[in-house]
Amino acid sequence: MNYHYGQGYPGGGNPPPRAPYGGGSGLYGPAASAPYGGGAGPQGGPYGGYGVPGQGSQYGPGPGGAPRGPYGGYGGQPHGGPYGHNAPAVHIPPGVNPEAYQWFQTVDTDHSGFINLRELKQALVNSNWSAFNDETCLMMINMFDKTRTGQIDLFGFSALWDFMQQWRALFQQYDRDHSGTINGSELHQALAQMGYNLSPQFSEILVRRFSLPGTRPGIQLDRFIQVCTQLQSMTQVFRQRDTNMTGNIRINYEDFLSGAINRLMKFTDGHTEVTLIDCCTNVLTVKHLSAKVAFSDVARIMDSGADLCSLCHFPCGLCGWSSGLPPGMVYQGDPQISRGGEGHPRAEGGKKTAGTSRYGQHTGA
Amino acid sequence: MACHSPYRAPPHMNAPPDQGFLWNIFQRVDKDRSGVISDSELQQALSNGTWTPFNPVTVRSIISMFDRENKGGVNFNEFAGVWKYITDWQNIFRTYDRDNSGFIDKIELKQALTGFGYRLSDQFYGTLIEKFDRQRKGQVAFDDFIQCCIVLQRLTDVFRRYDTDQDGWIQVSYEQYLSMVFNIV
Repeated sequence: MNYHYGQGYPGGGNPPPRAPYGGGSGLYGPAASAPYGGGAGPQGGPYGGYGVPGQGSQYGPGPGGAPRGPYGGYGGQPHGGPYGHNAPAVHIPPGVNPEAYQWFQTVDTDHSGFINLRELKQALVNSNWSAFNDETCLMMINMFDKTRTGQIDLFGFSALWDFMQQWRALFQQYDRDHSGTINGSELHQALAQMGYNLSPQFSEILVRRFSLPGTRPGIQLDRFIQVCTQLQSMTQVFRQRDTNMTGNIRINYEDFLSGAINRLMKFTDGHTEVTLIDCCTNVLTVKHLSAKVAFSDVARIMDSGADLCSLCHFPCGLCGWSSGLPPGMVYQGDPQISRGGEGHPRAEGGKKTAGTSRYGQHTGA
Repeated sequence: MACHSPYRAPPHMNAPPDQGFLWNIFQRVDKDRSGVISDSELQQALSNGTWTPFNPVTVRSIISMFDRENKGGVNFNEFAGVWKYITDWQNIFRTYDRDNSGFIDKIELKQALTGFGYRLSDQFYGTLIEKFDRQRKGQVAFDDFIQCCIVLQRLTDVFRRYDTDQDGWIQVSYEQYLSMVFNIV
């Protein structure tokens, strides 16, 4: 019996481009049929935990027990945050963790009262000070953004802070060799303690999957959170279908797709950086702007601190385009672009330029 | 809306690009001249048709597809594959973006995926748009379209391996299921 997708799975018709190397490692072989495990670490949400040591536990390779970041601990910021040693007493709203408050002020660089993805990445770091990956930050925003703006306010951030402390403590607990990463056997122990009934080989697969390329296999804090949270999520999906609690499910194609996509695909925040590409060598970055930039916003873009291209003295690519460059590969550094026509050179259609076109692919030699 | 069509097919669309041309591009993209194009360099060289940066997850997927040495980037030899991959996707995108909006809406997405051989419910296409549309327009831009197709492809590949009788149903254990879904993350 052949499941009808037309010509079976994609491969017939006009297949999408395929890379020579698919993503993904081999599949895990037969697994134990015993029922699966239970919850994960700190529950998804700011309150409650699972087998988590109390707050304020000692951690970190540095001195003192306070959670550390690039700006140092509370009350002692080497780079001089807004509150130095002699800062006047500040009223911290009740229910807000004082350390979180300090961090929030430091990280909310535009003082909007909200922290977006980019600012959040500055606040969350791994053991080796590397910034948290985007996926985990987005997950945090999803969990703690009650305002549904794709950003976190002070209260959300305070809750996130507490949540993070619990995760850090867990991570330290399982990073037995204090390497700053969790390897396969450490992960296996961690998952077992969290109540999962998974094989050691599975942990190895996970570690390989979530390790950074070009480094020794091991999961950093951000990916550790990501893995545990996703494990919990996908376990829920499985459980929903395993009504007889046999540890096995029968699932059809589209259901399988939905389950995975619904649970694993993150929202993105609505306030991403906007990039302007100039006709010279630099990509201009405009900070703190909404993703949708109307043509009428050009003046505001320029006021907000965008650099001007040194060749043509205005943010190139703006004129004639209100919806952006055409999709594809564009690259900078082409001085041969003609300057004919009204306004900016690329406003007119159908005009081929000698040499490379900034838009789409190369059209000439 | 752009006042002119950005989609002009390059004259030698179907011919493989010559090495000199590719090298030219490679050098422009490899800004720090390290000989390897990193995620961020590739991201800066790609446009998704809006003012926002190209989806970094898609960039990572593309690099990892062609990076044979697990170095976190692509060298010149590998870049040829990347270039072709992007060009192929551009062509597909143009084909299905029938109203030339620079975005693919739900109907166009359905046509594209059906064209690839997928048979999915209407409701599912709504889910896809909702989950992959980073611009929050109810439509997918170029980078999100690629990402959507990559994820679908990976999930389908993994499902297929278990669906030995090809009836669209599989029976899997808990750990097998987890392995399958973690394959695509």
